[in-house]
Amino acid sequence: MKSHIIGTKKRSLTIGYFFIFVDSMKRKIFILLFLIINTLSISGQNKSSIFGVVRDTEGNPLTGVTIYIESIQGGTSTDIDGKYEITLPDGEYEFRFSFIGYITQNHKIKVARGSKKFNVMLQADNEMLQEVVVSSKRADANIKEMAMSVQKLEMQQIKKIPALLGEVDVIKAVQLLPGVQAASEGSSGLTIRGGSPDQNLVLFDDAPIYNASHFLGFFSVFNNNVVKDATLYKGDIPASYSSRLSSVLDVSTYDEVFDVPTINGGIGILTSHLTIKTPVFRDKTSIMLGGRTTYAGLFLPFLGDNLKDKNLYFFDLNAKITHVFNKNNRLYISGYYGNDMFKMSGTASIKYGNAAATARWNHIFNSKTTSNLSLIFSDYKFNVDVITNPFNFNVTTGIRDYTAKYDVSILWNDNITSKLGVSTTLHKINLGKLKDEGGAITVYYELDNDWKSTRNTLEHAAYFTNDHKITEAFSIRYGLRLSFFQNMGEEKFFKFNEQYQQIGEIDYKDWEIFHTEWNLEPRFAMKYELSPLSSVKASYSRTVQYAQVASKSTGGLPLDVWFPANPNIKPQLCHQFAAGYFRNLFDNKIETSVEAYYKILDNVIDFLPDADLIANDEIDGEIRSGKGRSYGIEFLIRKDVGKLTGWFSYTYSRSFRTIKEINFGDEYNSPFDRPHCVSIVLNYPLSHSVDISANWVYSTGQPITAPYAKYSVGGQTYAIYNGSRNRSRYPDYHRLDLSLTWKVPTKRRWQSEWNFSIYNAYGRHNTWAIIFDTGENETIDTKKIYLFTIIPSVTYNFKF
Amino acid sequence: MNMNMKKLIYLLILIAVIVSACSEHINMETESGPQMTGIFGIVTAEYKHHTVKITKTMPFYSTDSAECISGASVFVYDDTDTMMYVETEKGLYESETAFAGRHGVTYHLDVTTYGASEDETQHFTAECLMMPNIDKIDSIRIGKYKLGELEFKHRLGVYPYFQSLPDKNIYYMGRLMKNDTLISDTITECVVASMEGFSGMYFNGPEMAALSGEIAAYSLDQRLQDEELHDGDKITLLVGTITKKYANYISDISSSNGSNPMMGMPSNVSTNIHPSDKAVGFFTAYSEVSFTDIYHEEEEEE
Repeated sequence: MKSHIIGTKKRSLTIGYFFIFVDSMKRKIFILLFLIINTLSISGQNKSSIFGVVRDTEGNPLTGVTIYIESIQGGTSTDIDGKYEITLPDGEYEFRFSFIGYITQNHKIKVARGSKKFNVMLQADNEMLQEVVVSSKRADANIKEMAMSVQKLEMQQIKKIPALLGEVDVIKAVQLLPGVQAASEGSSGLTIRGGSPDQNLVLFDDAPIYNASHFLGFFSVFNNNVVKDATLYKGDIPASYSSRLSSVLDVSTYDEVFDVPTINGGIGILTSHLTIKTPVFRDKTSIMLGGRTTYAGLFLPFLGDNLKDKNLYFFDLNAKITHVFNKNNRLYISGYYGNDMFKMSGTASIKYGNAAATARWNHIFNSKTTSNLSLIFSDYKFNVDVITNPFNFNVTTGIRDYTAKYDVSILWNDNITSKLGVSTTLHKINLGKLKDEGGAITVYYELDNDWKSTRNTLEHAAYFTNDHKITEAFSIRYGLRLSFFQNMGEEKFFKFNEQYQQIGEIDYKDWEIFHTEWNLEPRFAMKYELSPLSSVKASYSRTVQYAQVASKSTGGLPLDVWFPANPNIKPQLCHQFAAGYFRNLFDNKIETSVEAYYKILDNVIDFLPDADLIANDEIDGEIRSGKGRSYGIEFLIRKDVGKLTGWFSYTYSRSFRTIKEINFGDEYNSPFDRPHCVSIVLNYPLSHSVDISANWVYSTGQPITAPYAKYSVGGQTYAIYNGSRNRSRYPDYHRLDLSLTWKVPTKRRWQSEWNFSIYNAYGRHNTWAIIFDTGENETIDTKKIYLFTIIPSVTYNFKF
Repeated sequence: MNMNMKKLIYLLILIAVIVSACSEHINMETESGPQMTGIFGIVTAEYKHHTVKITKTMPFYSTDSAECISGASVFVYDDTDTMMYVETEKGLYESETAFAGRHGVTYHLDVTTYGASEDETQHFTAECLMMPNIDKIDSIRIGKYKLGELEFKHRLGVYPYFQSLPDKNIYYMGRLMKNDTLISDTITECVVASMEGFSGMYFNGPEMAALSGEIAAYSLDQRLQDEELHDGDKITLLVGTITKKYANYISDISSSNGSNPMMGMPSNVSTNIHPSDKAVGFFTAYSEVSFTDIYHEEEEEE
């Protein structure tokens, strides 16, 4: 419930009831009743307001905290930002602030002379049933809500998961969810329901992030101190999102107006971070600034002589301004800038990074209609600078987006909610830009070697989606996204025939549109509640993807080059069917679910082993496309309440492709086919100040193409493949991570904790690559390369 | 963009990823497949008995030496002559008469192998054009050329100076001899250069070597780095002209060392033996010119 409605200023209330808000729809009904009663019961008595924010000791706003005033037998509750406001006749009242899992607080507050602010900090009660996930989510949300194939992780929950090198990471947490796997060891790439990493749309405050990794994937770009939550849509992707075939990961930063300044920081073995959240104008404007950096490069000289002249670092910066013009208008401006660098002194450097900015104006037309107007910028660049004369050159690739979108939400009545919107995006893709920097090329031969290959595209969309409650138990959602895609000059376009031979070229002028595609992307979902504790759900979606990564890598490289659909390359399509059964146990304390899905893909792409994908003007001729299919079943048992919390998930999934020119045209395992996956995540508070947690993951090894024979010639032995693809596998992957967090007891404002974690606790040498070494007597030694053994880390976090 | 620049980019990324990687031996499950015939033959411009070696492919983890194929019928022909080959040792076939390959001539290989029954008789063919070669190498420079701060700075470098040919389809192959012993003695120690984009230009020592390829010991292969060089050593550089297909064959062998998440699928090494689904190996023809110099330590250049 929005507190501003409860706290209608200077009106007297005759409150003869109280309520506990457990359901948003009910809340809305109460609000209407409240307004009616409110309007009818104005009196001449002096009234004053009490308002404030209820937070936990971490500073996170608590939603749904009950604020009860005994003397009037009524009260209110906090909204999604933890805010409350209540207007009362002048006098002294005893306020009771209560929330499940937290110690109830009673405060005597004198209400007089206008408005008064009163903030409250609730302390978790570890002896009680404890909400691990503090959110607006109701306990039976997984039963009642329509959404399926959706997982939401809040930062408080993510922070309890053991972290690689002590750096809590959104992506690493998402990789533990059912149906989700890391693209490769240590990678920030996600493979979801058998899809490739480029089939996931990663959004950071609505801005797409094209490479969400630092340190070549060991960390993600998301600073855990600015992230509020992350929602992963594995299927039934809402029509409001621009399309990718596999998933949308929507990461949001804090967006409330802070009322007190806080500083969070952390010092770890390899990274440190600092975040400041502070009000600028009381209840109007606040700002959040966050930064992270690493000093890993300082340690490289100690790892070996060959690393002495190398440096490795990343940093990222976040900024966000939230401004409330009035109760109906808010403006959010957020920005991100991050960079990675690997430098070999005097020889070469690799740099890559993202820049993103979003400005969103949130406007509330009335209690039923809200809108968001967003302007979004995103830029990803990869750069190699080689300074080894005569190779003095610089190569950049990247993609830059400019997006405008407008979304409207309408609550027609208690049973029907609509969302609709339009968007348009200009993609400027740099397939490769070579700049000679005075090496032999120009010095000796005076050649013009400044070469570049760019693609410009436009992507427009209009969508609507309706949530329709047919009966108390039966609800449906239906929607449609109409997407348009256009190729636009300036471009030298190469035509290819069916044999992938270049048959001509056309020069298109700047802004000249030379190809248009459009697609209908329907969505449908339904939910039927079998009982208060169980429901069945089903969904269908058709999604389209107009750009993809040119990479033979399965791990997600910074070098990944995006390229768009065009007359040579059709957009990729996916039909996804899913159905699930959801059952809660022990009064919603334990959630269980089983979801099955089947995906049919068209125009899915792959590459021949010798495809030339870097800085290639004629890259279209290297692409092979065909059909794909994936299916799977995901089991989840999740416990968010009580001392022991966490989840267990098991996924059985398969993923296949059929492409005429690959594997003799027969169906083959996609590089992301890993049939069995298990994740176990557990957290347990040993005491008020000590938490322990553990996670264990297992998955079938990733497919590879294995040799079957060898041939020796000229003193060299090499492997022979039989033409079949991806029929063998790496050894199975499994890993145990442990962590212990000790919150230093204090009564001062300075709060701190030590986090001790062990990544890969039993030192499993999980395979990152396989190489064949020719030995003596024409033998071949097969070796696996692994990146990690046991990695202990310690991080000190503080807040004041 | 020059292919060597692309290779360098991949190399740099690989270095970045595996700065702290370790490796250990594993046994990997392998595929099944038919045994194939391996044929490798060279015709050079040198007047001599030329050879063709015929073996069988072996199971991937086999510790046995390759099984040689005896009793095959082998001959090489061009537009005018046919040279018969005879088996001089098991699986090794030598031309009955000595001959020298000629520039601009396409040589054809014809091999028939026989099994226990008629069904097991197999026929293989291949052809290769002997490219024209440069007239001469004007000079070579021997030293430890500094390539920025890359790790090759302490490596032996032998850099030729010569007028390259205008034909862009010609690739250059470099081999080294030290004190009259061939030290580029495996196929992957032959370094290959493409003059893509620079055909007909003057091959200007180390600069062009780096630009156009890995000729003259400018290889990323560490085995040449291990070769010690002493004052007074006699160094001979051989520069041959080869076809693009043979250059690709050498390059394929060098890179056929496994799979990793960065580079994707491994592929079969190419071949020009037909039918390619039953045979591996290569039949090539090339000529070489050479230049010899004595190494003096003071010639080193940083």
